[in-house]
Amino acid sequence: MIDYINKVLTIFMIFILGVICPINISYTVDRANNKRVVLNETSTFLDKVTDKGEITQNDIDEFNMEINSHGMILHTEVDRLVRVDAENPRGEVDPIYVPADKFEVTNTALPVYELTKGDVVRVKLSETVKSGADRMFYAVTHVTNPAYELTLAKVVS
Amino acid sequence: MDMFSPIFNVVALPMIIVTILMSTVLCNAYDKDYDTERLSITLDYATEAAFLDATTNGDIDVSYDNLYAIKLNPTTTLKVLESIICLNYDMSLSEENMSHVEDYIPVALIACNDGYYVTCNDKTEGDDGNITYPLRWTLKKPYTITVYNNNSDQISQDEREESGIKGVYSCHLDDRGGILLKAGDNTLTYFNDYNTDDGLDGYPISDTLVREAISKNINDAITYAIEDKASLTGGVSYKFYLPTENAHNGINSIMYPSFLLIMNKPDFAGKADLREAVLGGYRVTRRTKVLCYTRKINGKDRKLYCYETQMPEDVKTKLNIEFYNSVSEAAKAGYTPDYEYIFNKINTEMGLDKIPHA
Repeated sequence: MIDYINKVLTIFMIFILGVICPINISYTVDRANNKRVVLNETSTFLDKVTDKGEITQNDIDEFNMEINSHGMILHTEVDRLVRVDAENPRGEVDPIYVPADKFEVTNTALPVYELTKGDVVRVKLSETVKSGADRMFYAVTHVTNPAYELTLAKVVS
Repeated sequence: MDMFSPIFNVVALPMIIVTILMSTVLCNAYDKDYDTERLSITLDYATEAAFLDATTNGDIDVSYDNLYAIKLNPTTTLKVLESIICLNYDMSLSEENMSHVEDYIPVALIACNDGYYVTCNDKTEGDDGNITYPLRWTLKKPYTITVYNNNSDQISQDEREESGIKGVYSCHLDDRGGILLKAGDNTLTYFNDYNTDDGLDGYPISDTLVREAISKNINDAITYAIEDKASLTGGVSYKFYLPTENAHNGINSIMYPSFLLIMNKPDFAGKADLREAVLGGYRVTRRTKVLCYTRKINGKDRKLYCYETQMPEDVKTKLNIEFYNSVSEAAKAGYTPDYEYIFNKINTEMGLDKIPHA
């Protein structure tokens, strides 16, 4: 009886050591690398767009393709925020950033959009499909990890 | 064979635990790297936005004979900085979030050519009796320098102090180096390294000493602000150090209108590793223009361009020069690179006529 239990336990341990652990480490490392690359790509896109002072449909399409080519499926939202200054009840002037335009990837009618100096371009990324690591983690532990999200914003100079 | 399974199980269990631990440590390392990079990018964008606000808010009053004497206006600078940090972490732009971000900023400093603005902690009592310390800008403080009876920069600071204090004067920076404003009367007297006969009533001062004094003023202001914030909020007090003895070599001296920000590790930045604090800054630089001209090469007139300061003065005075903002504009106008000069170093130091150190 004890031998039987030992054998079952052995097979179970072999499965965990030989299959689950390497896959888990591999998925985790891939996901961490992907997150870092996506951060770099987003920062590059923002630098390019704010330096140029305009956003074209080509820029958005290229950016979307680049960030989706690293193993994560991400939904992109690019916003333009306009700065308006207003007086608050204490009499001080506060800068307020108001969302003005939203550049969707599917908006094929978007022309070259000129950005004014002082505007803010904000990129919001959110993961729409669970990654392999998260699905495996859920299968083993029934714990859901939050989806990956990133927001970066830069002022047009 | 009967012993194989129990032995394997006993060995495999610690191995699994080690693998899980390894995986956790690896995750932490990656997360820390990602969060640190994200915070670094956020601060970079925020300080750029804040500096842009300080330099473009209102009339900056540029004059061509002193390009660094621009007016910086810090009225909305802090709010812009906090707004951009909030936007980058997907926080709403509410007063509570901005004041939360401010808690992690011990000091910000805007250095102009004739003085500096530094943040101070203003004690405010709210309607509910809560005492808070929001950051406020001080009035513009002038740079001051203590002039001794012997100001030669060939001797040590101790020897200078032993010769006795002549007085404390305010000093400015301009395109040519440091200048002193005599207290009492408003005559501006210019001092430079090469004309030590010009001195303060016969006491020679060099622009290197002026630049050291300016760096020291800024260093002290920042150190005081950090300690003040730490004593009020119970945070960590640490020393900030701009090496003033190296400042006259141009290393770490504050020589142009600049914006400096120090930030402690915020709680919304996840596992970002900042040790104690991070320093971000921007400064004004003079745009290097492109010179376009027509020159004879092998008997033929060619339309050529190069950057300012790449061409020797004696050649420049013989040519009819047009200025363009960028090489692409010059190329569109039909000019080609002048390979005889375009590889030379561009001298981006203050002023076109800077005399090189002997």
